[in-house]
Amino acid sequence: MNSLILAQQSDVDRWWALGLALTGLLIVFTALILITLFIAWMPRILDVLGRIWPETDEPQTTAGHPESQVPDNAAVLAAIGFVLHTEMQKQLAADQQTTRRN
Amino acid sequence: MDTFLQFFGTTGFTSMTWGNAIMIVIGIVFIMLAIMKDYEPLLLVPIGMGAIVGNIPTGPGMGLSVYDSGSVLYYLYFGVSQGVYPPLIFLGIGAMTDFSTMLSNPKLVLLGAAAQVGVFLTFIGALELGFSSDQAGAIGIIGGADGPTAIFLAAKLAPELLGAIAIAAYSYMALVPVIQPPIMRLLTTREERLIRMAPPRKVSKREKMIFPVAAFLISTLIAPGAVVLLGMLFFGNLLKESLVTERLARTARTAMIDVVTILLGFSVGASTQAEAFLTSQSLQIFGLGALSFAIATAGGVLFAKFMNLFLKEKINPLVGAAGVSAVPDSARVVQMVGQQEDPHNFLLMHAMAPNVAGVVGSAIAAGVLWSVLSLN
Repeated sequence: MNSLILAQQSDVDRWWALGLALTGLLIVFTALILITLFIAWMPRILDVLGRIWPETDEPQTTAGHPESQVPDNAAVLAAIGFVLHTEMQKQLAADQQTTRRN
Repeated sequence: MDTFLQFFGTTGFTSMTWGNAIMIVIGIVFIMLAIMKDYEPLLLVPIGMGAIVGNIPTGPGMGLSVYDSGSVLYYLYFGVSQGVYPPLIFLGIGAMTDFSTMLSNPKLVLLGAAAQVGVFLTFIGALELGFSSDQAGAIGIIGGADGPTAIFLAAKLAPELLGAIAIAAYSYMALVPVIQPPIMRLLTTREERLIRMAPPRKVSKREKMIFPVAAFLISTLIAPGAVVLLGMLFFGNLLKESLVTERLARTARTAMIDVVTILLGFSVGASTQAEAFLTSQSLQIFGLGALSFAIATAGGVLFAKFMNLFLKEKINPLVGAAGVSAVPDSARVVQMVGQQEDPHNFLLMHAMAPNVAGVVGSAIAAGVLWSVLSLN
């Protein structure tokens, strides 16, 4: 009798777990579907909003915060370094080809 | 001589167990993997060193471990055991995440939802193995491939399994480049892997500013359990996108997230004391974690193939694998596998969309599990 009750309890637990798993997955999908729909509709909503409140009215949003306009010296140096390296590699390859021909 | 013998009795050599020695070796392996293989070094170095520190046996009555009330490590571990660190990490993640690719191709968000199938199937699997429902929920979330979320939920539902769950979650995140590619190749044809996707459209600044507030409202009104994690994630993103709080955003994504990562990694490592960690339950958790990752990857890839049945502009199904959050590793894996077939196919940008959607999806899944299971 006890084993029968335990078996029934186990079946109930199994169904409960399956129900929770399916419901959980459904909730995750619902939330992300709603976010997807919102994202898909946002440009249209903003188009309408843009006619009343153009984006150019907000200097900080078009130009960025003054702090973010400070040039990033490290990035500039890295870019210069990359270009120099590439040019030197090309030059080196050209020199090697000339040497081989000679 | 008596004093020397008394002192020798308090050294680590006398009370060291085989378990401690194994955990110290595991800690060293973690550090070596981080240094030599570059596997998640920012996490594996603190966790590895923490595991070494946590497994040095101390004399009786000294009370130095994370489990000894009043010790320094106990206070550092407080942020883990009470779920303080994960939301702070989410703040930093939000401040460094660019949702542009997701905003430019919203249908890819669904792949982040599909990958959460790993969480819920592993929950059922853990129940079948005899774990309690709370423990099963905490184990299942490993499939979300999101370390902070796994720690947060484990701290709330099954603090006794926290060490094993955290180590499993972070280990598998580090092993994403090993676990995912075979599954991705197995479930896709060469033609599918060669699909090129249209470049994403330009997203306006207003869209980026409105998104964090709107997405937070939508997701947390549906799953209020996710309010802490998603609140911090979207708050961090608003700091970044508002363009008027650049200083705060910079701090959140650099100094603050680094400090919290150090504290979290080290104290999680220190919590892996052999007697608490080396159990058959930990082995089962590691097995279930691997299964969870595999199911989540397969779920994302298969759902992308399913979506292709209805779409005119096809999605490269490899992108679905990035639905398991693990930002940005799983997106990098998608790029790598895609480029092995076609070196001129750049999938990274597209993969970032389901990748960040996966972060949101796993936080919602954690919220759902916490809400329902804490009621039982």
